[in-house]
Amino acid sequence: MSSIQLRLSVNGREHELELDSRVSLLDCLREHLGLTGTKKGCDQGACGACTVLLDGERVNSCLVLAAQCADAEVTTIEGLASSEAGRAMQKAFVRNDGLQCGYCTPGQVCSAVAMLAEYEAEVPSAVGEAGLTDAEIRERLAGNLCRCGAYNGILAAVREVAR
Amino acid sequence: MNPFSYVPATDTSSAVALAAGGAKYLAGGTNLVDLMRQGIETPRELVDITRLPLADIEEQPGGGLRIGALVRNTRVATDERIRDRYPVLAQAILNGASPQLRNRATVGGNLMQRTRCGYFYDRHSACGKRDPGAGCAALDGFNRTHAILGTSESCVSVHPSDMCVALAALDAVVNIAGRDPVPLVDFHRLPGDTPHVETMLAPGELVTSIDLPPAQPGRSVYLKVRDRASYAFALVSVAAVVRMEAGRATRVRIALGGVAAKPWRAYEAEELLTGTSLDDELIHQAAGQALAGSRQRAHNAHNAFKAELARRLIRRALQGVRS
Amino acid sequence: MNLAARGFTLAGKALTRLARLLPDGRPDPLAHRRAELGRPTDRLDGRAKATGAVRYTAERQLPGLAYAVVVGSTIARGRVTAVHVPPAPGVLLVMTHENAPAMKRTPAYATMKGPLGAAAMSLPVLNTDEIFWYGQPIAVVVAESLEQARYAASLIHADYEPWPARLSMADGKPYTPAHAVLEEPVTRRGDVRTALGAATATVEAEYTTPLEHHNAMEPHATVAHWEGDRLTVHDTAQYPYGVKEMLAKKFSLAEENVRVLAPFIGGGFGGKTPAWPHVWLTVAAAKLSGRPVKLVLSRADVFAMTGGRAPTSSRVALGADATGRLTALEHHALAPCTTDEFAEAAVAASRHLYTCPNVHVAQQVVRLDRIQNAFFRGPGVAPGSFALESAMDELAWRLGLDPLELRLRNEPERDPMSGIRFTSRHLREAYALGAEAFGWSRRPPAPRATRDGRWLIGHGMAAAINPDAVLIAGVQLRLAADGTVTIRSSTNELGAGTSTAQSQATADRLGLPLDRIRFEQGDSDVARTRIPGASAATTTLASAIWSARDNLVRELLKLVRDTGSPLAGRSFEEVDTRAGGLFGPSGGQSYERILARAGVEAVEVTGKSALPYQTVKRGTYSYGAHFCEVRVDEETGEARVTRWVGAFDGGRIVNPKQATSQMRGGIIMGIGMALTEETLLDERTGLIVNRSLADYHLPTHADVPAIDIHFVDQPDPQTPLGAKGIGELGIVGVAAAIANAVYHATGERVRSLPITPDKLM
Ligand SMILES: Cc1cc2nc3c(=O)[nH]c(=O)nc-3n(C[C@H](O)[C@H](O)[C@H](O)COP(=O)(O)OP(=O)(O)OC[C@H]3O[C@@H](n4cnc5c(N)ncnc54)[C@H](O)[C@@H]3O)c2cc1C
Ligand code: FES
Ligand code: FES
Repeated sequence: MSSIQLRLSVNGREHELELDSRVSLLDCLREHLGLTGTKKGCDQGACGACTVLLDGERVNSCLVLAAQCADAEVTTIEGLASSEAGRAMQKAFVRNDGLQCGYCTPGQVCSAVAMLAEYEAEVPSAVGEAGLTDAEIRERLAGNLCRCGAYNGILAAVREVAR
Repeated sequence: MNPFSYVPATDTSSAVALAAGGAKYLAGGTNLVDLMRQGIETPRELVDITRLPLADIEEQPGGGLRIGALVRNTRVATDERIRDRYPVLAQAILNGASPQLRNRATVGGNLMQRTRCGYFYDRHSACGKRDPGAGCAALDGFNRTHAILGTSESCVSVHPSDMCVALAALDAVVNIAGRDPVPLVDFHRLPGDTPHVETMLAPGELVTSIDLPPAQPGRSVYLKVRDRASYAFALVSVAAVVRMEAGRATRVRIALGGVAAKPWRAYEAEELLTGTSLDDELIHQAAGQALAGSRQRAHNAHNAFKAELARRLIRRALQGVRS
Repeated sequence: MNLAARGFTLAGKALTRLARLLPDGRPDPLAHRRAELGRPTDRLDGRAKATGAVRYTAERQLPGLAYAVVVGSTIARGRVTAVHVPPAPGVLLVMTHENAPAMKRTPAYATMKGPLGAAAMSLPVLNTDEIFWYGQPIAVVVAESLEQARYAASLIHADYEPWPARLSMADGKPYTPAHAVLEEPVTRRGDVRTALGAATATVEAEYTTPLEHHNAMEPHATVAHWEGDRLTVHDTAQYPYGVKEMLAKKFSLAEENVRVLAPFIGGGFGGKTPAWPHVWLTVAAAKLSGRPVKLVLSRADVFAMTGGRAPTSSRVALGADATGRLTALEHHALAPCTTDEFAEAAVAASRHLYTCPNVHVAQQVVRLDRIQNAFFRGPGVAPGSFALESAMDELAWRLGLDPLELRLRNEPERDPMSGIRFTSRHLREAYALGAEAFGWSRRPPAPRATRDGRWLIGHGMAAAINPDAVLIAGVQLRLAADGTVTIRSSTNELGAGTSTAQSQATADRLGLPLDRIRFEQGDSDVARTRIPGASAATTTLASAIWSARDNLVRELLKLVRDTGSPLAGRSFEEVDTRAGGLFGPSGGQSYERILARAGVEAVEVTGKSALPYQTVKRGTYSYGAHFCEVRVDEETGEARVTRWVGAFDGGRIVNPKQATSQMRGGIIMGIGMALTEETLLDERTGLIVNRSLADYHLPTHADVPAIDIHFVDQPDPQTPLGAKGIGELGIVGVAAAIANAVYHATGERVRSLPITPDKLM
């Protein structure tokens, strides 16, 4: 086995790890660090359930090798609860029923928090409307699928937090 | 996924040296990691190139821009200079994948991404890309999303990139470590009898950056039709860049996506339109010209609609930019 | 019709006749008296879900856990002649048909034959060298790590002796199945052909729906753990009790030695109702390897190793007189099935939606070498209503009648098939509510009449219907000395909000505030519970909790019997549970006080759902009406749903917030069904070509408009809580409403789903 050693900071905690080089960031979190809040829906970058913040940016952790995260700072759904923005979003999801089975939810929440930050940083979207319209929010969250169809509630939650 | 050793590269020459020994470059990983997990790519060694100093967008003497191969897709689309001077590129990128993927994907990786053909992704189906000479299961299989231009009996897959379509329309040039730059339109190869040879890069060669020539005044647009509103590959897309002077088109660039194994430039159509006022009739004619060479399977043409769709998109794009 | 079908039909007719003698349902006081019920309470598990604290099946960590990966066959029919297993690091076990332990065959759940274990199919997977479908498990690899297991699995390959495979609908001979989801497969009344000949307007057309997959975001997963003869399984099971029964039989274990745990499921939609072979193969692999084993299907495996909704083709003929009254209704449907006969019964909606004197509905199936198909939200009615409700729209155009008006003119007073009464049917009210909210009366009368830039705009509508049933459930109820109540159940939380809804129901049933109630779920060992899906959960569990409440009252009366309590000596009929305690004509006592006075820690009782005579005696269905706006880009063929109003009769609504989400979820799944979803099975080989979420297009945020939901909210007089199941109702009719709106927008009628751009260009 080709193994790698790395230092990884997750939610502000340092971990010294020795891992098979094939381990994805997602599997590292779920299988090695017991952080099961981040979900696996496809393992192919096609659903967004595995969304985490890598050095502050949202990414699909299933397509990132853990090896690539040496010295990086990872924030997962578990870590979001300790930030004001994260807590507000989690509460808004519950209040607006932006979740049903809950499986896509951690990814949606992480994505929504990062999306608002991207919007603040003037990252554009394909919709290109002025302001954070409903169409803008939908496009900017399109990388997170929800088979239960909680989309209306999620939109309402994001609206509430963005206000 | 087979076992592999992982080496982070810190400088370009050592990365190239490692790759010369058979290692594969790993950039954002959004395509390669997936293909490795499916057992389609099986490198024994990965060189992580994301820390190479190729992650900047720089002004070029003469007014162009150089985009480092490791600049993330989001950064390209967010960069003020790109949005001002090459809006079609920002649009194309934003119309691809998802925000998460764009945050991770690099320019070099986007250029080098492989086809999404379902038979290519299945190790047990006939595919000349995976297994030279094996034939093509898509020919008589599900080929609704497949190519209509530049195909061969060996392969009908498409190159899935949106970014590259815009780059083709912008006359971009690909810079490669240790050799002469290559125009983007010559970078990808049509399948012919060797569908496994997808670009003109030799194994181990490294893309270092992409050059955009000085921006031309004029208007541009990127249109993409897909099976759902977002987060899907193109059925057909078109990038059009037009310069109008005194009511005449002095420069016309039309590139198509979703129709071929490479971003497809419609040279004849461009020529037909250059110097004209882009009236409807000519646009119509040019759109027809652009797809004149399109081919579908006689008995199994799920993708036949693409030719007409491409014609309509070309017309819409040109009508949009001519005013 | 074959013998099985005839037998089933005769038995059904006899039952209908007998049913008239059955008693009515007991009117539930909670249908009217409500405190927590009807309140739009936030989900009780919402916080745990939003913070990632909920543990789903694949997240169970056990000491010594090993990882399994399944290898699927690459032919559709034939025999495995050799399995080649190159050595690979970390491998603990490779299980093939040559070394797998014997696993008894158990009947397929969906056939509804014999005992109701959850097995998806009766085939002896890995106990035979025979291959029945492409992707059938031929080996299970167990290794120390996931990466090792995956790699080892990728090296395994097999030799086969291929046999001719029947993969296309044209490959088999259609025949009549024994039943069409528990209804007779063929009904014929009057003379349809003559009526069609005499009709003022007719429609005759064929409608098709493709193979579709549920694609719950959570992939199927099983964690199996043996301790001697005792087996514990964590599974993504919608039906834990059925998995327990199945595993006990397959491995010859006493039922009490098998425990299945499935408290939280990341979506099911019917795809996790039956146990697919990987469930029992994981158990076998754990047994053989001597390690606890976890198996999570990859997304591609979900497509290959679990079944979807079978494709359907429906030939519908409708006739109406000049007043818009239906005179003829014919619906002949065909769907594939497998060795285990289960029909995607597309004729279901056509049997109960409209009144019509001349009817001929007939379901047929073709046996193919594909994986067993599954229940999928609105089985039968979802694809069938696409056919019927599209045809109704076509008929309305021919008659020059508003499609809503056409439906109103054919609204039945009694069940059109059996003539029995409905327990309740408020479809008219739903039509009215929906039409008003949508502004249906302002719809431009002609197709292709509205344009906004590149978009043609159309409005469409369709009706929804779904059968309701109270099934079988048991619960345990524990009243503690501090006045808190814990309900335990073998059902689980799939996203429907069952635990929150039942907590609300328990609170009102006992007269307690919501924060005194705890709902624990997903343990097969609580009680025999046969609820395979969420639609039936609300009323079935409510019934069981009602019965537990009655038993609790009896126990409490025993406790106060010889005390000075004002309740002493009161009979069951004289007392009521409210205001935090038990009350009779001369006063009452709080639960805490009763327990304290009796000096007991807790009172524990059980409850069982009542036999649902009333729903056999009468027809119980939930209903709805969809109204939508669709925009179509005429040049590119892109269709986008831009506005939606759904109005529903689901009896009394337990939690409007959750119920609204449920309906939206169904509608969104219907949008996918209408516009983007199709599993592409290559009929040359059996391979599913688009077996990923990048290629199988579920609706994204950007595909979904604001969806406005209304409820009639009238109690059904015969059901627990006055409620009716709504989990599946939302998807029914959606595809037709969209196709009808597309027609209104463009003048193009698309009769084959999904309506992709190429079909509209
Ligand atoms: C679900 C999904 C949807 C998507 N949708 C779209 C879409 O709609 N439109 C679209 O355009 N794309 C889409 N993509 C593809 C995405 O754009 C590519 O995966 C991404 O651009 C690849 O970039 P990367 O940096 O991650 O490449 P990697 O995965 O790291 O590499 C890809 C390949 O490029 C090679 N490579 C990388 N950098 C260099 C270099 N500098 N020199 C030489 N070789 C190099 C690698 O060796 C590898 O072979 C989608 C992807 C997914 C997973
Ligand atoms: S699990 Fe990573 S995108 Fe689906
Ligand atoms: S809440 Fe179930 S998938 Fe989104």
